Amino acid sequence: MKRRLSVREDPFSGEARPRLGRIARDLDAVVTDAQSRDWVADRADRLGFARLGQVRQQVRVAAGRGRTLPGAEVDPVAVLLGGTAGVLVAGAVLWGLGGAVVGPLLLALVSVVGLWGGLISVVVLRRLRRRWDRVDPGGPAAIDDPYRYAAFRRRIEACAAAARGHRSRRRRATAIDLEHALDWLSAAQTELPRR
Amino acid sequence: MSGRVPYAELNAVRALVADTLAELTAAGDISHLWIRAACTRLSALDAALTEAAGVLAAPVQVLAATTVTFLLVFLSTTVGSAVGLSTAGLVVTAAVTVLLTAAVTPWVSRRTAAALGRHRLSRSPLPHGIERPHLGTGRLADPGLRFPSGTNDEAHGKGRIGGSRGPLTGDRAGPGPAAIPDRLLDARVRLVSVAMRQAGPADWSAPLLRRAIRTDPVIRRLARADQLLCQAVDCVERHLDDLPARPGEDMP
Repeated sequence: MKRRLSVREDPFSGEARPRLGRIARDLDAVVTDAQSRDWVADRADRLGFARLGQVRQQVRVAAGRGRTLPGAEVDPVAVLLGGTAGVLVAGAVLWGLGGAVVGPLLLALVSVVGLWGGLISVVVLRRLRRRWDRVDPGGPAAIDDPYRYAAFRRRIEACAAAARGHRSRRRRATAIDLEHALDWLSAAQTELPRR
Repeated sequence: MSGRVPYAELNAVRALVADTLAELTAAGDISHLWIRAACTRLSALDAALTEAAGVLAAPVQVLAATTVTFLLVFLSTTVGSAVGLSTAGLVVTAAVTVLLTAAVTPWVSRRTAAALGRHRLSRSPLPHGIERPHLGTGRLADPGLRFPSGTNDEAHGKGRIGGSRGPLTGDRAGPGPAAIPDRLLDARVRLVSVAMRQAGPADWSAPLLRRAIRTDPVIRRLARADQLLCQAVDCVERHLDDLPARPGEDMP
């Protein structure tokens, strides 16, 4: 699964209104990259990805403040695709049956067919992503890129500034989490030359 | 991706971690910020390992999803037709049932994975190399050691520390917290080797391993556990850095 990072090398790039979910996902990509490099001892550094993981954790906590459950790690693309495919398949089957008598057994079978349609589409998506990821060459580690840290800092700060002025107390509490995240981000950056 | 999860190795990691956690708690300085952070992470690590051990195989998951969907939709539409809904009403009932099932699924599957992992881990013994290390109680002999759930998320943990307040043999003249990072790093070596074996030697390069971390459910959970372990080590090290240097202690 190759995710193109929306953080480019230009520190002034990026979306106008950063969103916490996207920041967390970009952080996740960087952390996973650094961790796999650490596991194969390509770039052994256990502190850097641990601290970036703390940043991601804090951002995720901040993103989950509004909700009752702590944010589960779901892939929105896969969920959307699977749901759409399931609904389409089930709807098509129902429409095709048309005049048949609609009973409990038939509906249960149709929903199972829809479920299988959704699952199959998700599996196909995963296969495609694996194939795209195979093309991905190694390249330098994303965690070493100072511009990326600058971009993350700018985005998180923008989110924190937006949260500080918010009316709701819950959103203002988000700002504290984001400040912790910024602390961990600078802690991660100070570890950089240590590798 | 390949074969079963080596539960015994996971048990070894859990034993090492639980040992360290007991030591950290027994040392008494829970009030320290970094120690508390490390304890939180170690508890979450244990939960992550348990979940990794309880992941169901993909065919079993598909089968379970199919059966549950079929049964639930059948039941709800039977009730609906007994009540006397029209055809459109029955279709809507089925759709709502499927939606509710899908919404509840993540929660249920997490619970199932945790329970199943606990069961599997408690059935498999500790590996041979690991003996009960430093604390003299038999508490860790049972691998079904469990921490209170809810420490998963730091924000929701409210500073609760894992349940290692059991009877510890006190007056332990150990090396203190200075030896803790090394022991945790031993645990990390085991954990990473489990994850690498799980990925299989064909995947032992950074891009392939990254893909495995993202796509394989077991490896993803193991990677998360590894992250928590590294964070705990980092926290303990920061605590050690913060301690004032005592005179006469390895000063040149």
